[in-house]
Amino acid sequence: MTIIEFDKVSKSYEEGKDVIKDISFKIDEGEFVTLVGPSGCGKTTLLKMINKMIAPTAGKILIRGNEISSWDTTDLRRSIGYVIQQVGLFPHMTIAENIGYVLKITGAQKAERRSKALELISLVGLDKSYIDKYPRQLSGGQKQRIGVARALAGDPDIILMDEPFGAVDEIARKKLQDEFKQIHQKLGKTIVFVTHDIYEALKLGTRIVLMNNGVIEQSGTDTDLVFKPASPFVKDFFGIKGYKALLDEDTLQKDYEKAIEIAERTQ
Amino acid sequence: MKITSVFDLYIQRTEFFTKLLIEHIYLTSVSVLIITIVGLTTGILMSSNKKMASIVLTLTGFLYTIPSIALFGFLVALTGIGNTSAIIALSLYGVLPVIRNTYVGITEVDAEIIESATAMGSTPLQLLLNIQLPLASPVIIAGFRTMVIMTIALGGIASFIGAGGLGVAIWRGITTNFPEMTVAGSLLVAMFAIIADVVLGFVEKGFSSKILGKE
Ligand SMILES: Nc1ncnc2c1ncn2[C@@H]1O[C@H](COP(=O)(O)OP(=O)(O)OP(=O)(O)O)[C@@H](O)[C@H]1O
Ligand SMILES: [Mg+2]
Repeated sequence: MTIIEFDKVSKSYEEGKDVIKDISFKIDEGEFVTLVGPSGCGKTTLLKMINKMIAPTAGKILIRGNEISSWDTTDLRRSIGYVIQQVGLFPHMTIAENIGYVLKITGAQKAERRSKALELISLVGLDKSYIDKYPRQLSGGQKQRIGVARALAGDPDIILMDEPFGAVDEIARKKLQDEFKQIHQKLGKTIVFVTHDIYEALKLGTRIVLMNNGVIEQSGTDTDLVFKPASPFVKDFFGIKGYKALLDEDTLQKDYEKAIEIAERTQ
Repeated sequence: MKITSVFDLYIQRTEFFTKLLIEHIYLTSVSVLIITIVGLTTGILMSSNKKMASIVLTLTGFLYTIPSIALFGFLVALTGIGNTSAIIALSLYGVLPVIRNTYVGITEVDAEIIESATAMGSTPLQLLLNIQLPLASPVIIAGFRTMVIMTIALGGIASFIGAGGLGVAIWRGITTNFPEMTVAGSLLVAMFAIIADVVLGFVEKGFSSKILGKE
């Protein structure tokens, strides 16, 4: 079932200069779509058109079969989770209040908000004792987890993420990626995920969409993009890095051990 | 003039000074109330309307180039002598710090925080009440504090246009060449301002430690 559909969508910020050029594509329920591409190619713009944070200049966008203009903006946004790189946690609210914010603005009682916060904080792998702390008392990686938990609070079927793990170190990012992949498999939400990181895009996406200059260069599975690039641009973009990302880590590890063994024997 | 004679004056004329102090508190409170309502509303409206913001900031900036005595004189011609003119003048003068700090406080909330709250489906009113005003509150209260001190001090010259308050004692001291009276009035104005400042200082600290987490 199609849940998000772009139909000949264009966007320009200045007259005559389209940053999104006549894009048509569909996302099915439960897909994990990663959007990659060079800086400035229009990933954020495309993402933000889904929750009406940016309005298209031409074309139609349909969410759950209904055109975006027929959706009440607040209703639509409350049904879509949103996570950004800077997280944007509310500094004057505790973690519980942050996570429960969507429930608060939709009128849920405090007890319900708190129990939801407790449930979600465990889901994103943090100890329950963090619930009454303030965002400033958390590390970057912990904040990202809260950002994810907050996006899940309203039980949205769509989650939009704009480089959500961009600001944390390599090790924390890997951990976040693994855990988030599991969360996706467990909850079956539709996720649109913008990233700069080729490895992240290939690892997380059930479908990878490569953008360039306001158009989609290629959309497909990891092996499609790496082994069957549709253009020289796609091949250059993923290149050897994409190939490496697809190699099985266990096999690589065995090769590596073997290499060491051989080196030791020849000494 | 001896300082002890000022205290003698307080003892001899307790009733007179009490009455003036109460009048002063009344004048100041009414002005503060008007300023707070007008200032907050204007500041909030400005924060979502750039054009209005630049107009209001220009207008209030211009207001401050008018000497207070000239403004008092102008108001006397319009609304006559008495408390009304004084309250209008005090309100006009005091409103700028509240408008400016409300406006600045709201517009300086991090863009990512506003973006998150908006994308999560906050209505503009929910955004204002849950996010913008709480986060702007330390700045707004700082402006409020400045305004209260200013209004208390300026209230001292309100009696030049026939209003009550401690200015009456100051004015009388000047016109009857009775310096103890002038000092007695001024001293009470200063005390009032200092007490208000200290109390509001605590309030301000309380808010910023809640919002920004400084102990
Ligand atoms: N508010 C705006 N006004 C004018 N131009 C804009 C605006 N926002 C984005 N652009 C332009 O639109 C193009 C696409 O921007 P967008 O933010 O979607 O890129 P991106 O792919 O997300 O880039 P990055 O990877 O650096 O985040 C860029 O050329 C950018 O300069
Ligand atoms: Mg971007």
